[in-house]
Amino acid sequence: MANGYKKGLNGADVDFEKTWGILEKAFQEIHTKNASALSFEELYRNAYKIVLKKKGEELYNKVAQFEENWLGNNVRTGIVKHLTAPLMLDGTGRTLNTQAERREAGEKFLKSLKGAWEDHQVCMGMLTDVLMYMDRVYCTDHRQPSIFAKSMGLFRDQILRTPVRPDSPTLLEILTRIILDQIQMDRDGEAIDQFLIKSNVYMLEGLYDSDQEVEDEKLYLRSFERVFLQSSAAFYREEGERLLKESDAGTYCRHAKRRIDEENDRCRSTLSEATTPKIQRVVEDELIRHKMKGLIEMETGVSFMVENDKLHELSLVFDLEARVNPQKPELTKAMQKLIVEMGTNINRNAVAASQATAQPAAAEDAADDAPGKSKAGSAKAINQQTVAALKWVEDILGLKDRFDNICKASFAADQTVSTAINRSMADIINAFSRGSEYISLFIDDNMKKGIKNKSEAEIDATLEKAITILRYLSDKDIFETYYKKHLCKRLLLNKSHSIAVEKQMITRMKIELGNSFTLKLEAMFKDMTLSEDLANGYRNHVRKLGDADPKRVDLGINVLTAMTWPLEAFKSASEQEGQESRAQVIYPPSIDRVRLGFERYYSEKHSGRKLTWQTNMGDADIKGTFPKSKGDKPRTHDMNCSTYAMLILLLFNDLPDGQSISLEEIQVRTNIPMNDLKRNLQSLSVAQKTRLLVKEPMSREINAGDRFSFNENFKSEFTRFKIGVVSAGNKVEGDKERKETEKKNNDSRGFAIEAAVVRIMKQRKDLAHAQLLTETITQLSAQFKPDVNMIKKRIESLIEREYLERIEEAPVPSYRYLA
Amino acid sequence: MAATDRPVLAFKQGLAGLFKSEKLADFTIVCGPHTFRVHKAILCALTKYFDALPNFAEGAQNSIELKAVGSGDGDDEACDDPEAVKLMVHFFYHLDYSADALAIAPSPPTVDNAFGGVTTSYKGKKKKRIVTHGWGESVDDAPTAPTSPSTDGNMLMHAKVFAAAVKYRVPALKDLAAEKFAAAVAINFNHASFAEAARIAYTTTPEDMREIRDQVVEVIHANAELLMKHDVMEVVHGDSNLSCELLRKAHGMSAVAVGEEDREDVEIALQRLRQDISGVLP
Repeated sequence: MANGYKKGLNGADVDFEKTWGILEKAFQEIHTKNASALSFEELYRNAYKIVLKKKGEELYNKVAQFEENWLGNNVRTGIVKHLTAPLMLDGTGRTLNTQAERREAGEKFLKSLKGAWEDHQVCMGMLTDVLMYMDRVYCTDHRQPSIFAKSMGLFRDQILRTPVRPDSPTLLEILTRIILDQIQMDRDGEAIDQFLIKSNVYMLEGLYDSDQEVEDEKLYLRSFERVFLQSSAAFYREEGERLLKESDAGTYCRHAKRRIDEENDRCRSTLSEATTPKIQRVVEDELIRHKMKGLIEMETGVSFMVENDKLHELSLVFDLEARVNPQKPELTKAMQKLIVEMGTNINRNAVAASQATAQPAAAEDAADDAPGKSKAGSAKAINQQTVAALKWVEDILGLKDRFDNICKASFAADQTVSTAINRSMADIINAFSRGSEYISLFIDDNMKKGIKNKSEAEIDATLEKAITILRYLSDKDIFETYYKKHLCKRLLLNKSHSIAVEKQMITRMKIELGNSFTLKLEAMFKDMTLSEDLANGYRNHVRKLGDADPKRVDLGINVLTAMTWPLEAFKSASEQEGQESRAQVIYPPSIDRVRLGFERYYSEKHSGRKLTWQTNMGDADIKGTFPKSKGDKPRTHDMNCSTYAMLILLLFNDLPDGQSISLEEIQVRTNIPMNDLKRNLQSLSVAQKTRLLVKEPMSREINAGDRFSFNENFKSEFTRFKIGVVSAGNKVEGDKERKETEKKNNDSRGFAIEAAVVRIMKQRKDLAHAQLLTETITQLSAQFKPDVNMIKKRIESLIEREYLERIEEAPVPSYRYLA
Repeated sequence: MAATDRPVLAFKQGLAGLFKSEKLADFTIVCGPHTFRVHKAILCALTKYFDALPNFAEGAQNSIELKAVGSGDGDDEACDDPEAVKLMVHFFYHLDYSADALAIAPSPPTVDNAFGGVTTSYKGKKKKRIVTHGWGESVDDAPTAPTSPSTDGNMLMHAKVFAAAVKYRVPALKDLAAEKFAAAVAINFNHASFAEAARIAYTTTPEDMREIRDQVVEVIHANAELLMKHDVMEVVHGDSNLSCELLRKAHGMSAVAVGEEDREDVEIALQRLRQDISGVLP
């Protein structure tokens, strides 16, 4: 190889020591802030030259050595000088000096460290400029950290990690302690130099645990932050416990919120934004997550806030928990507990009210054969019970409104909480056995009276209330029974204030509960409309016949489909027992003619239909003429009374003046059921304002053997009045009625269950028991919540009747459908 | 010309105008015989080197002297060819440099008086080499192959500009020079200045900067007759990297070793290829 080509391309060996000498001298100048006289071109060129001559490594090492010496010898001593007595610990880990002294000494130390760091940064920036080519060529090729990174590592090792003196903590440890101490002062409300701390944090963030400069191994994260989070956790744990003991819940919430905000601000102004989520987590853990239960259960906690409508404080609690858990389990639990408590209270009050009135009602049942004194009392009691029902509905709605309002105002209409609140509402509504009846009564009352003089919007709101509460009800079938009953009376007795509103209600129910639910209700309305047409048609028909008899009785009629209308609603309890085969009422000829006329007309239109006359439900307008008293013309009065009362009064038309008839005689001649007869006679002969008959002997009760005669001296200030019958408005059922309704309801549920089971089995042919149960429950859930035992019984019954059979060989109990 | 190019064009014209007029110029670059009045802002926009100046004496004086080759103290290697510096400055204002720029350069005699044709001695070696700063006129006296073209297509100058771009950290110029070098060397490799260009490529740029090194290896590999030339051999001989790369080339490998992982990939790929082939064969 030793031939003519031998000629080092890198030939001109650079005089390394000489060139380095130039650079070293310049670096010294730079570090002593004397750089302005140095020629960059010269330094750069010299460094460039060394690298071109492949002496990059030597240069790199020389620079590193230079920096190490500089930091270790010059910089460190300058900082250690500021480690004054107040900063050193005594044996117990606390300094003996006052806070002010500590703060001042700390700031001096922080300042000197900050200065050293910033100088180092600037100088290394300049060195990096000079050594740009070395960085590019040597460091890249040899995978060395840039000279800047290297020197930062040197700063860390020489300044921060070297013990001040043997066996004492490093500057880094002292620095951490001082910053923590200052932060504690800040938390206690003393002003500190945030910027100064921030500068030192910058330094820690700019340094790494190792020379590899791994991003998550910043010195800040590795050394400072960890200690900071630990000490903060201890601080807040203690503070939280103290506050729970010493202050009220509202203050606690505000304090916790303030602490979180403070820590956020502190991260921004004093520490590092990177710490924000972590310290937030610590504060949340210590002040919220671990304390939420205690906070809610405080004496001034959530239930106190709800009771006293402290909406703002509730919102604070909500905000706190929402921060740590989107499900808000503790608050949700607390709210549910409150609703159940308050709701149970409402239910208990309603039960108490109904029981207080149940006794007189029971007394009435017992004294039914000899009705008398307790009647007025029991009517009042019944009224009271209705009031209790209305109160229950209003209370429940009030409860719901209250919590809805809280949810909206304090919980930002949070989905989770409001769902939980709704679930609890449903629980308490369904826990009340008379819920269905009471809701229907509430609507009934409003339809009859409540909506009078109300604007459309108000009516709307009332309807909405009813629907709202209805939504929660699971036994919709029972509700339907009651509603039908109540609606029936309203329609037939013309009690409803507005048919339009009634229909509106039905429409709403249809939307809410579905078509099948309102089918029968709508049929009732249809019957009403058809009846009106029918009555008009009949009237025209009579007019066309031409025998315009002025004395002819005008007929208004409602033809009702037997299955749709719960006509038993009109029977009193005693009637339902035994008297099923009620004899036909005897009509006087003038009335009977009309009746027969209509029957003829009807059967012409609809052949094959049988009309049954419900005389107990009718009413009549009659005109009564009374002999003149002294100096007066004869007086006539327009009276409205029940059909029965009309029949009774008509008897007296044929009676000579001064004659009387006995109760028994009236009964025989009219065939009116005794119970109804007595009630009507009571209105006609006992009630003060409508005493058209004179009873002999005069007493409040109608008794066997009483005699009645026409009251010639009857006077009324009205020309037009109504003869009321002590009759059934819509009110809460008595115990007997309730049992009846329940039984009927259970029967109809039984049918519904059987129908569902057969439907399912017909489709599936074979099915396991458990699966059949679930499917049945699912199918029926829109109407009611079926009882599992009832389903089982029904299945048994279906097996007996050979709709189903058990599959013997099946591994799990199963059934087969028998076609 | 697309409408969107118009602003760019206008800006370029404005830049060129600034260079010519020296209006608002706030800095001076001196290199050898040349003095350039320039604008700091423009320098800083294109190179990191000038960023560093404010902290040093040059920042206070608002001028810098880039030491030119042959200034006399023997470290020419780290110094600049004034012509290359001139082209670099030209680039700052035109985002390009061209033969035109070379043509309007001060006439060669001026250069020659100062530096041109200066024979530079390489420490204690008996051989003297001619370092050319122009673009080929003076190389005719070098031992060249008979087919040697009369011009080197500025091949050598492009190499020098490339080196300057690396030294002064002007990435845009580096790429441009590499391109131009590639174009020039492809045609003019037979020119006498090739050896010098090759030397510059291998001594003044970092190893991992492959742009013009690859061109040199390719050309030598493809044109073995270059190895007959003494000056080329001298360069090959003197740089172990270049020799090594040529050797690898001769064995059909890539000039530079690919990483360990890459090699595994290659082997896996080969294996698969072999299997595929055997699968296809009957």
